[in-house]
Amino acid sequence: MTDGIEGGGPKYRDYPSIGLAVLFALLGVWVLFETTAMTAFGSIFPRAIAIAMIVLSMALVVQQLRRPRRPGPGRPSSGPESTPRRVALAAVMAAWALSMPVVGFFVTSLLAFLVLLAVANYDGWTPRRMLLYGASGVVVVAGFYLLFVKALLVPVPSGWLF
Amino acid sequence: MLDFLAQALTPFNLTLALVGVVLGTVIGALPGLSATMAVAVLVPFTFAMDPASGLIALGAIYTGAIYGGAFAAILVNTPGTPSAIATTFDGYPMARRGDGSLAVTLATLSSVTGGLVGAVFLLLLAPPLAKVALAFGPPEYFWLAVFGLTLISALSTGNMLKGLIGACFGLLLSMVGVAVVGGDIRFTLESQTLLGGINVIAALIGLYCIPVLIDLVATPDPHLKVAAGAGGFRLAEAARLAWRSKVNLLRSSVIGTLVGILPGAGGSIAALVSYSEARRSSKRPERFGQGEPDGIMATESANNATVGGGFIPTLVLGIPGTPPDAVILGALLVQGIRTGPTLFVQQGSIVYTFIFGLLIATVLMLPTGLVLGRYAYQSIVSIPKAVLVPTVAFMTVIGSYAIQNSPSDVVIMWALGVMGWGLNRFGFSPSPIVLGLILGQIAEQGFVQAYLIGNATGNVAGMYFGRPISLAILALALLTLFYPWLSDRWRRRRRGTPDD
Amino acid sequence: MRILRTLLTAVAAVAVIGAPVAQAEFPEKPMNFIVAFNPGGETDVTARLQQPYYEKVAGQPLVIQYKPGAGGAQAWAGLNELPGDGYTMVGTNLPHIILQPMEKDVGYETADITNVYMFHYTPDAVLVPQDSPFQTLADLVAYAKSTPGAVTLSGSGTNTANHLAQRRFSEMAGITTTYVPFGGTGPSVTAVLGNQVSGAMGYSTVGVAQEGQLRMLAVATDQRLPRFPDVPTFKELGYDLVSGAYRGIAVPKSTSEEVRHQVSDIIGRINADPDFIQQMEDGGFVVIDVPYDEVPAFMAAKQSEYGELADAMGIRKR
Repeated sequence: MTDGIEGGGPKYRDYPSIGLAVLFALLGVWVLFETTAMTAFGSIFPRAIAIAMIVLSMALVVQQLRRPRRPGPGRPSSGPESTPRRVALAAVMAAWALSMPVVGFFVTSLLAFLVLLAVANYDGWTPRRMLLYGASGVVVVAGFYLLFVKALLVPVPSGWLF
Repeated sequence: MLDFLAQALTPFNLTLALVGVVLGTVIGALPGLSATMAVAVLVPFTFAMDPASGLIALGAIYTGAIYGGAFAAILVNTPGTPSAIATTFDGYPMARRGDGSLAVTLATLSSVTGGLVGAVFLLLLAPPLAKVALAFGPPEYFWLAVFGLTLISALSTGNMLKGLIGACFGLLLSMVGVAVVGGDIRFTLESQTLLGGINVIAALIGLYCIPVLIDLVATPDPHLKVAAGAGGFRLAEAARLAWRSKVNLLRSSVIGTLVGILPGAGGSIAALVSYSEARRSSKRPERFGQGEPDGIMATESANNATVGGGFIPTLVLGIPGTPPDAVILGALLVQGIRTGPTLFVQQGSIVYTFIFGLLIATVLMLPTGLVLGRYAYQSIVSIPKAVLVPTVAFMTVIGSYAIQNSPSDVVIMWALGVMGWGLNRFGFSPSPIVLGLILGQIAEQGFVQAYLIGNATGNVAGMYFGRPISLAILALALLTLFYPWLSDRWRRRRRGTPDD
Repeated sequence: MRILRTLLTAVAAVAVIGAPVAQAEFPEKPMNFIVAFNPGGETDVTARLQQPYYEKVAGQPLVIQYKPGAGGAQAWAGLNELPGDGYTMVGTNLPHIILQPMEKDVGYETADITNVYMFHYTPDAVLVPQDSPFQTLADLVAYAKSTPGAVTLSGSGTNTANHLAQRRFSEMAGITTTYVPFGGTGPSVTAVLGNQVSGAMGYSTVGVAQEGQLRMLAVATDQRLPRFPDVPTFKELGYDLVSGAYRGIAVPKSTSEEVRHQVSDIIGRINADPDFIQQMEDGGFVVIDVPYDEVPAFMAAKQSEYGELADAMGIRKR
């Protein structure tokens, strides 16, 4: 969890931070707007926090604007990191979460597991590896499925399949 | 007393303690499987046993689960139970730089120490200590939450403003749902799934674990470094470190016991408060959050001390100190045992046999924890990344689902995770958000309840600023906040060097 | 060896799930009971008390599962999607299932819930610390009359059974009390024990759990509780307050009429078991019998009762 922006060395203006600060301030404004319809006790806390958030966000914008512009190209490029894989992971997990109640817990989890195997594998596919990894997927998913459903009595969604 | 110890040492009770600790550790290590759930599932089995044995089994599972939470926190940056949140701060950085086995061993030693301290307090001082729970009213809880929030200054490395904004965001997230005070429906976006609020554990799994997964798939590098020649338990090294930090360990254990006594506070707050104290009194506070062993020792000893502490109000007052205690209390009720001040006198044999059993279970955590921890570490390190990623992803999904058996919690977990990854990239780290999320409800309810009571008795200001415990916590909060600055001044004055 | 045997029995019980056992009548396999709250709560405790009697009465074990969230609404909103074969039951609570849909869209309406039995209620009670100056309810009322608002009563949540009871009692007595909501019965009782508030609007079960530490001033039942022969009812003291948190058992809408009756019969027989009644009374609960055929009339009466209150308190939003 290294801080991507604030490291040592000279500090430069960071436009995404300004953008996020504006978003947080807008969120604060929305909260203030929502609290108008609430009882006194229900609104006092969110209102105070929203005001604090707006003030702090504005302070962050000012802090960033007072810093010098970054010389040369914007952010240092992120090196050999693979953005498509990141997006794929997030997308697979989203599909997993959304289709689980519809399709069924076990089937969705097994499919998602296999797709994520492909997303996370950097070593190329040999038949041996495919078999080994695929089998490990079945073992992990089935093992946890049995642990949760049979031993811990968790009612998992069964959906169309199971 | 000694015959109670002998009763706790029967082969049957010893087996129960051992099996309980092992089961608890495994369950606690899986994110989303909380100590509460572990205890609830095992309750029916204890009905067939005599009450003391049943209690020993449940207590062993409980203490094991709290300890097991450290594994996931250290190895995959995901608190297995909420009380292990603060363990991620230093545990994960240690594991990443190759000191994973050392971190796990330290966590084991600290958990055993904390567990023993909590259980000894339970054994010797339960009735008087139960009064602590009663002395804490709404204003005290409010100030305790404020004290917890001062930890933001420690957690927001880099940019304090971003840390504060993150904390505000977390506080707002904690307000989502039906308000306890006022009954308003807040910030649910007209959605039924948000009526129950944002589940803290789902949020934890999302904010801490999803970013790790996202970054894990982005490069072919292995998940954790393995330090050359640093295999094994590293027990001697860990013991040396623990001995050097005995003050920290003891202080954190006492904090954990005391916070555990407070119903409505719990292990996560105990760990956060002792982390904050450890950092404040450390000679190298700047290393906290970068993989400082003292950080792990503080949080792990504190959260296991809450087990013994939590049993104090449970047994003495009949008020559960923590959620797992609520389940255990229910089990006692079904068994026909009445808790209360007379329990220690009338049912002394059950209570003391149980407490000795808990002590034994805590001691058993040392060998089982070391073996299980080593196994967990080895498997995390040796599993190829391509298998590790979907396995951990599967655990986040099933874990966030199992908290309330709710598919929408999985969606919330995912959404917060992706958001947390994005925010972290731009310097908004997840810890202040989580801090706000955990403390928001306690702060709000304490504040408004204190106002209601103060208004009814015609002394609102006195409620907040006229009670000794409140003032003491407030003073501690201010001390934590200004300590770095103060100590700087003291040091300068002593050295006599001018400001530069 | 006992643990081994216990575990083996448990494993066998688990293995039985799904394996058809030749038996003439319902139930042929273990029944599932879903608790809509966290483990350790009162709903869980009463289910745990019933658990052994299923084995005795129906010949099949009861498996307890949890689906907490949104004050129970999460489980109730999902009730009708569960299989309607009679093997899946969900615990229901009043006034929750009446008030929640009145207040907001929670994903179900009161009419969507098919209760087959209302089996007990936990009566409301006013409790004060043992060292409180209020020896009787009259003391409390007199003090509240002389200094309006100064009596603080803690309770669990806003617009809940406790809150309703506090409002009704205050109205009947013509007094003003300050209601201080807490995040559950545990914290609310802690506040009374610690003298943070003057008393609690809580339940008779609290009087059992905190016996000797709290004094019950009055209980909202028709007759005095056998467990507390010295505690007067509100009725005796001149307040027509009989209320509390009622608990029932519901099945999915798709369950056939025949099976609904069968489930209702099983619960009725458990409710008639003297040992069960004794255990419930020891815990401070009051066993009631509202079988499937009488549920509609019972619910209608409660709906109009709570509806009026909700209007008076401004809870009704839809």
